Amino acid sequence: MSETAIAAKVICVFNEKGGSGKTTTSCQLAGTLGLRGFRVLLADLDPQETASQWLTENGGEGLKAQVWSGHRYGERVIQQIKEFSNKYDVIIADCAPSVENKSTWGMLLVSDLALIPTRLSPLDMAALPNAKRLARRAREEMGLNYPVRVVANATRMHMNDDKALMNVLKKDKEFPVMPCVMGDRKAYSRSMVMGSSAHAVSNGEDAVKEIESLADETLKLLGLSRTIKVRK
Amino acid sequence: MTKRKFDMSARAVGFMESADKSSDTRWAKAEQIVSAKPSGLPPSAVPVLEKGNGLSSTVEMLALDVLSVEITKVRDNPRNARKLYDPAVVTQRATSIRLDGQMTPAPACLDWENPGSYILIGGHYRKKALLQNGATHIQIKLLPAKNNFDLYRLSYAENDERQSGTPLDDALSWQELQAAGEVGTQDEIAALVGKPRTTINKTLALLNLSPGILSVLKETPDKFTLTAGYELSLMTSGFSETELITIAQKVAAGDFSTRDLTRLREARKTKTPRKQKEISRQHKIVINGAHRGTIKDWDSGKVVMEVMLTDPAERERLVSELRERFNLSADSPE
Repeated sequence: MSETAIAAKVICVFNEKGGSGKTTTSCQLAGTLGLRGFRVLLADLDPQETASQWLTENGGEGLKAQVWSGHRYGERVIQQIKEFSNKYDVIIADCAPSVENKSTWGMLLVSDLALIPTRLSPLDMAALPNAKRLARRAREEMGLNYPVRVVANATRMHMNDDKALMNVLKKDKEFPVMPCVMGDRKAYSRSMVMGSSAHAVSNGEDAVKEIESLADETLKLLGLSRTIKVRK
Repeated sequence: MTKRKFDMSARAVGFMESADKSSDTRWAKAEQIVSAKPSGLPPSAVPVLEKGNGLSSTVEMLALDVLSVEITKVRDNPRNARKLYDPAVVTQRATSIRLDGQMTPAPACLDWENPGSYILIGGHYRKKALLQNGATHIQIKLLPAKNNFDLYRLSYAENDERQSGTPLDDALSWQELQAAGEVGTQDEIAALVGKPRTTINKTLALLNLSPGILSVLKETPDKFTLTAGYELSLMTSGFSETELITIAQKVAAGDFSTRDLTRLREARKTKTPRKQKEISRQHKIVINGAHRGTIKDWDSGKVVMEVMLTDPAERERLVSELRERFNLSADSPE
């Protein structure tokens, strides 16, 4: 393997809409992959530094992932990620809430997978076309066809509206929606307070099931084996 | 928590495959692209405006999508998500703009009803402040709105991002959307704004408050959380309007918290006394050592007797005694 080859798999989590679930998805996924034994870097590229603060304020020991605050690097984020790529198995970029942000564009160019979290509401889904256009552009520029998936976040799937909007997302064949969703669960916000993933939250079993499914699906998309031995 | 151990060999295979496909060229190419094209989206994401493209000569293009236009050519958002403006804040903004100029352009769109004019999507405080200062121009940033629904959607999104809307703003704008037929049910509003239906219901309940109480809320809408407003709407059954106006004024002044409102409401609840269950005294009727029936009597005065007399003569005698006891004539068996 070349010294500077992209060893780490890079996941870009982006959407210009604030509150769409970028940080929740990034942190929960990072924590889950960390628990499975991956060396994970969570690149916090959001100027609000929510992920970094979440961990710093809570001791930074609850999440099995390293956090790097890199929003000041702009388009130079590529060089930094390149430096990290040999030290980690997976790099998850929690991007800024703007498709015009230079670091988001840079991360999309070096990604192996892009995730677009969204809430199931017309207001939030109105931001999807811009995100998809940016991902399409990045793939075209790089001549790559890496997978891009929409992740339905804070869902209430027992409600007809959410079911209907989920069906809208399912119709998109170019940027399909992930079959697994992240529900509107307190376990996610509670785990933020604890500086961990939902695994550490008591009564968080449903949330854990969701993020484990998301992790399974993510690894499958990255072409990594999901073979896991359960220690009894 | 289930402990899981990752299969190292499977992981190695994955990364070896990845390394085969990737090389230095990918980083270099990405850096080259970023250097040549620092932004991913072309400028066409916003309406392309050029001088001579139907724009008045009084319009100055400050950036690709930022214009300085005559303030009289910009009308207010007919579907503004924000309904309440504090005159004190307008004066404060006016002072700030006089000192430092308009620092942020207001989001607006082309007016499809009046070519050459614009509709303000948000930033009405800025416009009011500029008018107060006697300014002739306003800086606007054009967004691609095409109908009233877009006007509400973008206006709500702008307020939501700045967290500047109040529950009363929401209630008034949703009522307006419903009246205009742009949304129907509360479920539709919930889907539009991404809030639970219960929140929509509680928010709209604010409009059921009497005009006197609403006027207090309108004076200081930011002092009333949704929960506080909803508590007031629940209190309407137990409190007079005058009392409620006083309570609302205390909330506005910061003297009452939402918890105080809950306590007041709970204390005012008229407790209906629980109905005492009547207990009867029972007297067993034993004939020749056998249990044949029961007489029950209650403090309320009720007496019930149930008895089995197999001997017809004995039965007739009892009935006759009872008839006599209650002065019943012999020919009125009913």
